[in-house]
Amino acid sequence: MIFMIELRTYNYSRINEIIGLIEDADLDSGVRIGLGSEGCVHKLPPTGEIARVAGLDCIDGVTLVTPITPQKHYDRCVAYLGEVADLGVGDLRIVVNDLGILYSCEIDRPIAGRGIVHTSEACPWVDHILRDESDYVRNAYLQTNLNYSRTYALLRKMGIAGIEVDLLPRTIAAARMLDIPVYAHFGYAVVAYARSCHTARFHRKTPPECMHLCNSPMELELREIFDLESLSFAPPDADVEEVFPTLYLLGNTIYMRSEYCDAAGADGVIVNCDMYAPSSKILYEMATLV
Amino acid sequence: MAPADSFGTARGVIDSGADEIYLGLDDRNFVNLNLSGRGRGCNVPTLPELEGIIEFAHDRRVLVDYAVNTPFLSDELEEIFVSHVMAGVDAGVDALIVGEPGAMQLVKEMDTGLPVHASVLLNTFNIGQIELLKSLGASKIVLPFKIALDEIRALSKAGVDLEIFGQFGCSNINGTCHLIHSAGESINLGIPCRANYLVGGRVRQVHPILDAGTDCSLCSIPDLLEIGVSALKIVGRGMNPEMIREIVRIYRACIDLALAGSDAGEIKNYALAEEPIWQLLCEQKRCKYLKTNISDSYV
Repeated sequence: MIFMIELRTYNYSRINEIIGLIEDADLDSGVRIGLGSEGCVHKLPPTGEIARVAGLDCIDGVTLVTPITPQKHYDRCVAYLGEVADLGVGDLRIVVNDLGILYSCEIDRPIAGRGIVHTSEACPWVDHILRDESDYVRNAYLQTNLNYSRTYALLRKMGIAGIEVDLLPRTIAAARMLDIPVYAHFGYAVVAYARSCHTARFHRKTPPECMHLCNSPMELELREIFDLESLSFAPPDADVEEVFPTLYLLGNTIYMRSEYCDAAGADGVIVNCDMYAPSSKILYEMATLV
Repeated sequence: MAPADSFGTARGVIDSGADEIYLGLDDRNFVNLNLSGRGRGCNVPTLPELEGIIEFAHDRRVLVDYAVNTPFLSDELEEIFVSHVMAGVDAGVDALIVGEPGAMQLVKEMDTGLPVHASVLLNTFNIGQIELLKSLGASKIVLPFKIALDEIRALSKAGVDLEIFGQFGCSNINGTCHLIHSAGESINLGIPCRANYLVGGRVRQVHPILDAGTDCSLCSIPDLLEIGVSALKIVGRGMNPEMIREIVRIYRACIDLALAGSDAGEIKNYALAEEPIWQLLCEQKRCKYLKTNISDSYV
């Protein structure tokens, strides 16, 4: 049984809309609000916003998502986490996507996010890559990186109290084998994060000037491959078209759609509201969850 | 630090002036993949060939780093990984490049006596992670493809050797990118991050929107030397060996020029005179450590 649903956003102008959604939905499960981005430090929520949302009666808690953290933002991010701790917000869950932050900051029961927990299944053509491998190699690659007991023990020692993974069939099956709460991202799996923000570059903006330009995803359909032999563009052939999905770019993160909706055994489901507009689409999607 | 995937490529880059080479070794437990962080075809095919490379390199006082930087390991693969590591150790490699935190612990416990380098696949962006990797036994850290000079300068104070990428590299954060290519595909995916996409929504424009590849650091060599970076890495296992050899030759000469006091302008002029095709890279502004629209977009 799913006992936690988290509606996550980094577009803080949408929070009231999301809260309205929760009130209208009359859900049986407890609903958390998640704030922040896995990949962009400029989307850290103002601490006042965390406190405000935490004070709302209609939700079951707040999740703060901290991003992959380049050195130039590192001290600020560490200081920010100190300020958040000083807020004294009860039932605040902090998701960490950066090993350096996880190692160096004192965070109460942190959750390892998708910046730390990986799976090869997030490769859109993973079955092609693994097509000729033996079963034990294939199975090993389709686990999460935390299914390796040494990595798991290391992260446990660093205090992690839960993990986030994509809701992909083999990933979620592997994650469920771990003795730790698992929170599954519904609808869209992370294909890649980028330091040089693709959205900012496309709009010729310098972060954080671009913050208003990545509040909804851009669809990317492959038109021409970049051929490594000729170092030029060429149309994709039918085999490539078959495996290459539409990609979705939100800020500096690339996603692919996942239709898999069996979240049984997970301890919670996370919905990235920024992928959906209007928000009513979120409820429609969640109704498909098993 | 130059790539090699055969005796021929190793000899080529060493003759061109590499101080250090890095390579992986084929492993018969895999068909298309490998434990070296690259597809099977990018590795030295046999152990005797690896031994020959090591002998050739050591005769010329060139170090050989052994890439065992698989980003994925599992309990089921651990025994294979240990055997694979020991094959390189017994052959006489000089350092191990490791790409996974659990594997770092394992290699530390194996106590091979060799230095351990933390791979780019570990995405080491900050001082906190450097401290973690030091605690896991890393003596050198390979920094991500996308990192600014100021950040390298700050990280250089961490008391560990830093290796950075000199030529070529990925658009996305390496250890988190699943647009996998050059891993034994039988279909031509090309390089997905450099492809042209129809960007949807209101924009409707065909654009290489995911292309943030940076290709060159020649003009930054004086700054990198001043910071104290210990190695400049050339990407290129599985790439055209003649091209890699030529790139290594140019980098060797430019590093020597910088050591002799040449500035960025003189280095650039030298490279353009020696290899006019470099002009293309300059025009495209795919500089690794200079201000470009790619670095302007760093989060």
